Amino acid sequence: MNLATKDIRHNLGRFALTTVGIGMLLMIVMGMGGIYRGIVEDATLLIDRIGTDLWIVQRSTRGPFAEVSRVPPNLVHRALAVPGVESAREFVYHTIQRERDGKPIRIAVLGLSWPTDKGEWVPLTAGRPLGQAHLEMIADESLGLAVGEQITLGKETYAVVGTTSSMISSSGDGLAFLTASDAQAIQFDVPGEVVRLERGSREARGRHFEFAIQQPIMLDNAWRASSQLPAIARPQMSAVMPGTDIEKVASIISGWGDVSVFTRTGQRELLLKGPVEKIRRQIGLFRVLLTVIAAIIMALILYTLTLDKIHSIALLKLIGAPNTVILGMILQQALILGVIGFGIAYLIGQRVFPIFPRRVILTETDLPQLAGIVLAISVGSSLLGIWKAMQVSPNEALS
Amino acid sequence: MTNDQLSPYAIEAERLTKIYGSGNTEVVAMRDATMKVASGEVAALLGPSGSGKSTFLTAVGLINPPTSGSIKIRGQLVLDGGNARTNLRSFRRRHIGFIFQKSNLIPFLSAVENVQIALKLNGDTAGAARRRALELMDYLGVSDGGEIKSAFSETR
Repeated sequence: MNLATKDIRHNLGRFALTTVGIGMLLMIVMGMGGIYRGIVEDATLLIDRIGTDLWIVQRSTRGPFAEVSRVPPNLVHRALAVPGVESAREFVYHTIQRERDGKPIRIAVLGLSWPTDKGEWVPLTAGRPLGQAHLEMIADESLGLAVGEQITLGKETYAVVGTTSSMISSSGDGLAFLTASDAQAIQFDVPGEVVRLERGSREARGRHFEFAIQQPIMLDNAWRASSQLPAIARPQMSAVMPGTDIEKVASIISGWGDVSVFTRTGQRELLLKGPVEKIRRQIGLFRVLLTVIAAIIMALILYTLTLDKIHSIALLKLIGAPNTVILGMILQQALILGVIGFGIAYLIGQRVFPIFPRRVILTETDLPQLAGIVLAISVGSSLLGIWKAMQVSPNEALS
Repeated sequence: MTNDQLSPYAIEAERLTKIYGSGNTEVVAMRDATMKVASGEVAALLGPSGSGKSTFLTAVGLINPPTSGSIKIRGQLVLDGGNARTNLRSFRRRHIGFIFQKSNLIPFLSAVENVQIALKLNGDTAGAARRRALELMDYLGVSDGGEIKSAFSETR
C-alpha cells in the first residue's frame, strides 16, 4: 500500500491539473535553456561548419560577424604565399531586409569564393550546390524559398538551386549562399542616379589628384562598380595545412599592417562575447529565475497538499507511524509531481518548440541535466511540506 | 519472564502532572493524578468538563507526555519524570489502541486499508496485513464495505 499514490488517486483531478501546470512551467524552463543553446549554436554555426583554421580580417576590426570588415582582394594571394597555408578563400557576409509577397524577409547573405567554394559543405535538404558564378543561391528553409523559386535582390533575379535547414545567422535570420561577387552586388546595390552622382564625384576629385593627373588611366577607376574598387573588398578566411603550427602562421600574417588574424577558437569567442553576449546572458538569467520560480511554486503546491493532509498525518502519527513513512509519502508525491511534470514539459515542448521563431535546441546533455535539476527542485521543494508534517502533533487527530 | 507476567497491572500512572505555558500564562491541566488499571479490568474516567480527563488519557496513551510523573504499561516503565524511556510512537503502535468519539479515518484509504495500515506499520507483509484486516472486519460484520472509502459510519 503506497500512501503517496493512494492520496493522489483520492485527489486525482486536482493533482492532474497541478501536474499539468508544473509541466507547463518546466516546459518554459526547458524552452529557455533551448533558446539559450540555440543562440549559442546559431552564433557559432558558420564558424563550426566552415571549419577554417584562421580568419583574416581588416586591421583592428572584429569581423566579419561581429562588425564590418574589409580587406583588399589581393589578400587571398598573399595568404596563399605564407608557408603552411593550404587554401585561402574570400568570404562576404551581410544582412538585408527586403519585401516578398507583401511581407518583410530578412536574409543573411553569405558570399562564397567562386569557383573554389561552391557550397558543397552546406548540408542540403534539396537541390544542388552552386553551379555557376552568378544568379544562383542556396537558401535556408526558414526563408520560405523552395528549389526552383526566384527572388529579386538588387538589380538581379536569383534562382534557388538548393535548400538547407537550420543554417541561421547569429541574429536568427536564415542564410542565403551566393557567390562572393553576387553577394557584393547585392550589398552595394544603389539606385542608378546615386551611382552616376558618385562616379561623377570620384572623377571630379580625381582631376585634382596629382597622381591621376600624371596617369589619366587612373580616372577609369572612377567609373568602375564599387565592389570592384581596390579599397572595398571582402573579409578573408584561410585554411592551414594539416600538421602546420597554426599559431606560427597566424603570427606571420598578423605582422602585416593591414590585417588582424583570429583562430577558429578566437572567432568563436569573439561571437559569444560580442553580438550575442547580452542576449545570451539575459536568457541565462531568465532561465535561472524561472528555475527558482518553479521551485518556489512547487514548494507551495507541496506545502498546500501537506496542509490538506494534516488530519491524516496526525492520525498516522497517533497509530504509531514512524516519521519515515510520513516523510516518504510527501517526498514520493514531490518526485511523482516532478517526474510527470518533466514528462509533460518534454512532450509539449517537442510539439511547441519547432514553431518558435528562433531555434530551440535540446541536446542529449541538456535533458538529463534538466531532469537532474527537476529532481533537485522536487526534493528541495518537498522540504517545506516535510517540515510542516513533522510539526503536526498526533493530538490533532483527536480534535 | 516478561514484564507483564511480573506486573498485575496494565497501566500504572503515578503522580502525573501536566503544566502548559509558564510564568503568568502557566496553566496546570492535571496535578498528581495517580491511577492503576489491572489487566482485563474495564475502567471509566468521570469528571466535570475541564477536570483533565483528556489530558490524563493523552498522557497515558503516550500522545501528550506529562510534565512530571511516571507511567508503566504492562510493567514496563515508559515515562519517568516526563522523560521517555522508550520510543513512544513505536510503543504506542504495538501496545495501545484508541476508539474515537466519532469516525476518524484516513480519507484517501478504503475501509479495509484503514485497518490494514496499522498491521502494516507493525511489520506485517502486505498480504498478511490484508488477510488479517479482512478477518477482523468479518468478525465485526463490516467486511462487505471493505473497499468503500472511509466506509464506517459512526453507528457501527
